[in-house]
Amino acid sequence: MAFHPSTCPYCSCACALLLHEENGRLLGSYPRAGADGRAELCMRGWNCTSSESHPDRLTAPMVRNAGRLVRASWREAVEEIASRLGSAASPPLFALGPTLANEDVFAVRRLARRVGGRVSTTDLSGVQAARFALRQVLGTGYGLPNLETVAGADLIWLVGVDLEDCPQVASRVTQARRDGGAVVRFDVYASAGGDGSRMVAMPPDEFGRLPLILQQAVIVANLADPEARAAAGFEDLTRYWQAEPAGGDRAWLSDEAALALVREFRFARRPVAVLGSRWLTSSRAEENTVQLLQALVLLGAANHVLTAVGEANSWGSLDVLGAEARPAELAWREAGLDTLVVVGDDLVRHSPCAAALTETLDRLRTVVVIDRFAGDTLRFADVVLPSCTSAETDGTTTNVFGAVQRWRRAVPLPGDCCPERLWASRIGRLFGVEEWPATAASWFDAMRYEVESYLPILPERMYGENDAVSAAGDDGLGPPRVAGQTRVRLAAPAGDVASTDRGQDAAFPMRMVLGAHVANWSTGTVSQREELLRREIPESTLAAAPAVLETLGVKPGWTAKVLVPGGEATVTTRADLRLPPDVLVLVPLGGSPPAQLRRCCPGPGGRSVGVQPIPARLERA
Amino acid sequence: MRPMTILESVLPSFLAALAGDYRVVAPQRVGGADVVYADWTDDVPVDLDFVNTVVPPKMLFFPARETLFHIEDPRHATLSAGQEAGATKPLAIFGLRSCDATGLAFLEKFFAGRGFEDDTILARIRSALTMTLACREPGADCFCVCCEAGPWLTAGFDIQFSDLGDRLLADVRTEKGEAAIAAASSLFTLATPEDLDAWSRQLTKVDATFERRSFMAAGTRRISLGRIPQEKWEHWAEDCRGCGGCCFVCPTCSCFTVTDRPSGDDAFDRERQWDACLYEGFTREASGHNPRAAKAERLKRRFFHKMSYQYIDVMGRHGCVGCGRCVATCMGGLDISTLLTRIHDECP
Repeated sequence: MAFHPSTCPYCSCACALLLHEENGRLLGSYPRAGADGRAELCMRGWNCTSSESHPDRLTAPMVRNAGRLVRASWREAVEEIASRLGSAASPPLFALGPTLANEDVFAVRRLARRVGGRVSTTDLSGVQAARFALRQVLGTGYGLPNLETVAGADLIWLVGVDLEDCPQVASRVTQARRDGGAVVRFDVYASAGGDGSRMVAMPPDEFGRLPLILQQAVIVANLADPEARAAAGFEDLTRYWQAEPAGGDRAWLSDEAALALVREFRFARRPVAVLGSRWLTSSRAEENTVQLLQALVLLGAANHVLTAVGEANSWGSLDVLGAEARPAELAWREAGLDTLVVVGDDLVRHSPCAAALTETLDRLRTVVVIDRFAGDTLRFADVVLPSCTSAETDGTTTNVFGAVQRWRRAVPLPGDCCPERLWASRIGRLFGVEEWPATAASWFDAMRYEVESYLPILPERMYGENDAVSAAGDDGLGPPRVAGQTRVRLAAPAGDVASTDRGQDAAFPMRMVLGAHVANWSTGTVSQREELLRREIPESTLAAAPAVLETLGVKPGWTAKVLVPGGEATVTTRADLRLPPDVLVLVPLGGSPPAQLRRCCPGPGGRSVGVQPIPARLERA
Repeated sequence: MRPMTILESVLPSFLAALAGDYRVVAPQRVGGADVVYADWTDDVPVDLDFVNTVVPPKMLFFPARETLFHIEDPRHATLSAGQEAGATKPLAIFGLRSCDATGLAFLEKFFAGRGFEDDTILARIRSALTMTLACREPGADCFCVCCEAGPWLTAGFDIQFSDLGDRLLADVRTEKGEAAIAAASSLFTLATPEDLDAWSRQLTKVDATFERRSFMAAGTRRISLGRIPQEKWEHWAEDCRGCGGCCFVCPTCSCFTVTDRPSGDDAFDRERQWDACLYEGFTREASGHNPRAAKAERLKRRFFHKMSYQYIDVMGRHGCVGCGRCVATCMGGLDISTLLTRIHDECP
């Protein structure tokens, strides 16, 4: 009898669990107690053991012969795959599902590069749209710090979220509601609001209007921060709405309905937004999500954002694949594709466009499936390789908050099953690459040199006794951040997002953003607008990461000099744990010298809304 | 047998002496935080400083999943016993909490009752040497004191240990317990009057330190009399996430399902797995009809079963021992203690 601490493989909440093994068989999976004493798993986590010996489990390689898949030795199957990959007429496409360990994703990527192929993800929960928007607007690769932020919220915006799909989030929403929090749902299903939350039913083709209507609410409710209001971009935005106040295709909710929404969050101190797959996989999801996040930040309506919880290791796959990844749904539609390798997903069963997909699969010269279960895609497969479950292999997975967690091997591999990285190595050797890492830890070591945010994680730490290691280290700053990007960036609703990204240089190596709304969003401590902000912030303040102040020899509460191109001011400092080291947030009192720095904000194209990043430098006063 | 004491430092020697006749199981930490009952070896420290284990010890006697038998060829039905059934040595569990010992007695009664005896599980329970460890202080979720299940016991164990600091006091109640002490008699000494005094003070003190209470009697009365409006069940059930965790961590829950799993070309295993009455498929019939398709009906039935039916008609006690595990595991706040409080407050 042994108990192996591991991680649930079924969604990117990645709950910690204990695998109970006896005589090489999994007998049970149990929750592990968190720091707060809670020990929760959803139905999937409690029943992890059922996948190991599922009747549909693949345990042997198969090769299609005379129209039928017949059992083959692993060597025959691997040679057949190598031969087909080697003779492909166009670059083979490797479509990776969300259930692979980071190391396996990396190994398949290496194989794909070796054979001149491309990689894509079978992203069905909208992780790519979420990642894009988070980076564009908030400058971070991940969402809110942890699930307890949802439980502690006093207002939760649920946008296209199916709570049944993510029980751990659902339980936190329930807890928040029980503690008096309000819930506002935006969804295509009006019935989703049956639990007493305010429901705003959205026609499916109107999802894109939500950011606009939230921005409209800012104007109608006269909520915008005075600093932001005076900015050139905000005036443009006001004119934009005033031009067609209640008609045309812009008005989606009436002013009255917009104000009702505003009333929900006007007094919220800890508002969060949760974006679900019905939002993140809608048409133009990337653009819509960027605008929605901008609107939420503009309103001060969400201190934190949680996105795309649905699938297991989609976040890790995106980390590892980086810019190479394209959604498989787009990639397999490309003309000329003749070889598809599907790894860790049943594309036919899960694709929302199954008819078009099966048509494509029918015409492909080669389809290879590497998976744990015999799914619908198998009927198109020419070669099949059996892979293993998370309880049968060591590896890492990255959760929706950016923490890298361990899967621990608890039971032996059945039949000829192997981790995907071993299949990749075996195929790769036939392409002349003899040196492939032998263990999960050595794969991790090789991977971290190519995945920037994993570089600080030492393999001996990850593969030691630790269950989870934050790629951001132990500095309390939360999930990893993207170097050179600010925490908050806004653009006008029709938005040219890239135009807000202004360069830094040696003279002004930092970025400063202006306005109480931004400070409010960043600290998460205040959100009752102007009156309260004035009470909380009686003087102009400049927030910076604690390490920045320490380097200058300045203690929080002391003054420092902030310099921007064309101006400088002395201002009282404040430490903000959540800020990255290169970002400053200035909250100037109207008419004070620091407020003059607002004039230095250029606002490209006249389209900024007042919290445009300004190159800046901080000195000891 | 008169109470004995044993120094905590020689406890491993006592467990080692038992290892000849028993498979010794003791609470151990896994991954630094979670405590489980696991096979004891002399290089693993026994943890005495824990509130309770993650899962109850029922998983040792009634595993979450086990093979009942193996069929090689269905046409000729060659049966062989499942691998777990042939365990050779009986279990000796050290460090069993009072609530879990009460739960074990409950399970024994269930698996022996009503004209059907589960020989395998009964053999495991009845052959086991149960060595409980009385609680020095309750956990934040514990309410065994409301369920006649702790924090210490007057019966239902072979040996009850109580932690007196550097030594443990052993209260022996059965011949099996006496034989176990006799196997390592040199490690034990007769308890002194001071030991008994300290023991008595400790038991009195811990009884008074429970923070959580559960309205068991009010719950039984109001549920049995049907005084809880259907709308209440429907409202509460909205918070149920259907994870089944409350059933799996409950020391008295005994529901299981049986499935056949292929284990070769012509072979399969017949397996028994824990099941949960809050799962939608739990009462679904072969015809497709489901008498408890709605979550509210399942929640209502669970509480009726535990608080009323089992108490009044079958077991003579509630199907709850106050271990508090459901408090820690329920995502919707529908654990026994919390929901009975809501019944008490909202359904007079």
